[in-house]
Amino acid sequence: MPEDIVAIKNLSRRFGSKTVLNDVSLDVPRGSVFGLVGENGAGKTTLIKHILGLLRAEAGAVRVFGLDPVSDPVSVLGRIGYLSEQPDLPDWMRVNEFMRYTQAFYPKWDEAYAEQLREQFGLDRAARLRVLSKGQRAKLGLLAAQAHRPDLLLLDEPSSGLDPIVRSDILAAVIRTVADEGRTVFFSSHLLEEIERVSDHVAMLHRGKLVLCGPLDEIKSQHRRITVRFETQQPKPPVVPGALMVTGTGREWTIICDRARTEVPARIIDEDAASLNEIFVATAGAGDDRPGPT
Amino acid sequence: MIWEIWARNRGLVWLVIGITLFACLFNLVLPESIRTAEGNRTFDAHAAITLLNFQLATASVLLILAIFSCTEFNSRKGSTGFPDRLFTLPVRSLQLVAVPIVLGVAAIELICAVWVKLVFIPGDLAKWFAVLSGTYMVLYQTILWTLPGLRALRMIVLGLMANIFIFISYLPRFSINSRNFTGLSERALIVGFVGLALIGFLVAWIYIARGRSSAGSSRASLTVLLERLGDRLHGRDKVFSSAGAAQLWFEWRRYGFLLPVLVGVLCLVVIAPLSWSLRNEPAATLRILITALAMPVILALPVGKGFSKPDFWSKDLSLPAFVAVRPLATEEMVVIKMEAAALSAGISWMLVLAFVSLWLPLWANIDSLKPIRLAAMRIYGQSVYVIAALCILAAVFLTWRFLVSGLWIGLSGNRKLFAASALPYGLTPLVLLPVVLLFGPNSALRVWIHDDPDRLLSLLEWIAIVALIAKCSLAALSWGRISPQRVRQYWLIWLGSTICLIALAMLVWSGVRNVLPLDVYRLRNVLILGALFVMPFARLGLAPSFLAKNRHR
Repeated sequence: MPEDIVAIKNLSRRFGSKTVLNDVSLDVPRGSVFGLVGENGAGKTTLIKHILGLLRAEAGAVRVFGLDPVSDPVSVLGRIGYLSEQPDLPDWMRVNEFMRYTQAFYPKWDEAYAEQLREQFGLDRAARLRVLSKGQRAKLGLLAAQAHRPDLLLLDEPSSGLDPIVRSDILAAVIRTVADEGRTVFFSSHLLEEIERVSDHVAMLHRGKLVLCGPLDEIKSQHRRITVRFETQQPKPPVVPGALMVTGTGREWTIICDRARTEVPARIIDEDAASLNEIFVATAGAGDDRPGPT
Repeated sequence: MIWEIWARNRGLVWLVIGITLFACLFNLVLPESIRTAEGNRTFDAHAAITLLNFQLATASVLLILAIFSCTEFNSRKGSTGFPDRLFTLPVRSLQLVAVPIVLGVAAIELICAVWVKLVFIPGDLAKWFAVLSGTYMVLYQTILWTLPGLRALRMIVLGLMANIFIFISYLPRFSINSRNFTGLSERALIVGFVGLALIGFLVAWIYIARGRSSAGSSRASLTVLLERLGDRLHGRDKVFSSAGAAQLWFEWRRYGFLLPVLVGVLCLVVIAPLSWSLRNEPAATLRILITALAMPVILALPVGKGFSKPDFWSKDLSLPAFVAVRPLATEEMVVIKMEAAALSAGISWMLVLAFVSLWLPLWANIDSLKPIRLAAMRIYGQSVYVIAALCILAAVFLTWRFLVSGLWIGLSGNRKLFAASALPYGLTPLVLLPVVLLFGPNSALRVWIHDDPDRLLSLLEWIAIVALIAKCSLAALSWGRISPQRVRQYWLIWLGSTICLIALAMLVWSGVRNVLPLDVYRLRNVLILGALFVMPFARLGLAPSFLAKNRHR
């Protein structure tokens, strides 16, 4: 099995005149928790659909487990557990029917584990899917994605619109998956604190372009948040070499910068690692030519 | 609200106006002799015109019903019903209900009046008919809004109701002549139906008002009962033997049961009572038999349009993500759809044959069937039973064909192609008209055929040969990408069924060869060539590749 579970090379995709993915390349190492962040409309779901083979690469290549998901969907999908942002589960099915139906597609389905998850999530076997709440549907979708112990757990905004308890359940499932024989997790979210909590690799999409990609620790160590105080009032954001974003007013300013920063022409009153949220806003903003970058 | 109805259905409104205007102008330019069928010469043309007018009028009425259905898909409930979002408007429930109902009734009355006054033989819209159409509109809307949980079964209810209304619309005529009715006066029926319309309106009003105050939490007890019944019949606790078996169960639960249910309900609720009430009329037996046997084949046509789509119940032609992410080969998905169609066709025919096998010996008056049986025995001898069995088999194959022949179009996900495939149904009346005129009495074509019928046979033979060559060429291309195992499997099915059909053709030919004044060998060739076209082959081979393009966009 290749070292990278997912290998995407120079992937581009347009819908009409809009470029949704622009020359995206990333590799998902085996056994990692890979977080994909981006604002709404950044291209996260489109990228995930390419991994699933639901979209064909117009330019570039996508390989999952070393296979093309379009020409060999059975081999690829049989090893993926997928939870979509809004699980379009058939309302007419009952929970037990849904489990039986899903089980038939995966030879590695673990019935005892599935039953354990069902009880843990508090899902009534006889309940119709149409009466389940959004959180319960997400849990059922997660059960179906996990019960066959997939090599790749693919989650598209799994906690979107869910309460903190359900979100916590989903994150716990993610952690369990990784702990369980080093399986791989790939999930997208715009909740950066979640990504930061569980991911060891991160990629940031902004308007279809990959602006950051790499191990989370490395990304965080490369970016600093520095608070500086100038001697005099600054009427406009000061130009600081290496800064990605400069915010503040008057004499006190906060600078988000990467390793390329040089000396700051002010007194540093605080310096710390930037949070993922700050890095994302700064990096995305740098791409939009906001004030600050050199 | 009026504006919303207009904005959502602008296209349909213009279509209704267009159809009505076309019919008015068309009939206006027709010679009076054809319009009023003076003399035998113009009778056939008059019949064709009447048929066309009837088809267009029916289309207009159906479009009006569609415009004023005022329903929306509710993703929370998973069904189509009265738009819940209107509940938040600062208007009374009475207004929410009254506006679409009043507009709907007015529209249907207007369209009926226009057709009667300007298109059909000019006359007044009978009060009786006006009340009937208005009542149907009210009940139609009430059923759509109050029974959302029934989903597709509402089609059956509405269709049955339409049949009953059409039947009842003839009642005032029967009151004098028929022995079976007590002669209810038109006035009594008008009062009854106005009352029914008012009850329908009240039911709709109460339902919407309750739904508004309880946020739609209560569900009709009938819906709950049907779901429990469905669970008993279809519930699944056992493990599936394979992914294919699971997907077949899914397809069957989703829509596969529809044709058998439609056939079964029609047999039970319409044909059986009709056969009982007309049991003393020999002439009715043959008509009922033909109707019962034709029912699955005819119903398979509209049901097949839905069968051909990735999701029967959705307007969206893209493959639902829930199905697309199953680790199942695209080819396998098409095979499973074909299996579901076969199950559907088989069970539908079992229901029809079960009804016929009970009805004929127990309470049918078979006097009108005896001469036919005797004539057939004279021509075919004991082979008549084999022919009958092969005819039933041919009808089953035909039913299945109508369910699956559109798979290559529906599964492609191409809306334009799908819409274009429906055109032949809509254009049939327009095509039938010139055909009827071409074959009118003393027409050049009729004379040409009458002089030497073998010329027509020869023409048909050549057309069939060219079509067969085209079919085989397309089949070679379309099946080239499919796995050899599947090609072999379907080839065997196609071969077996086609041999049955050819056997039927030969048996039929063996009887008619001595009766019809035709070139017997040309006739035999035409029948055999016809048998080769019943089972779909070439187009089915396109379905997997078209579905693959839909699945991996």
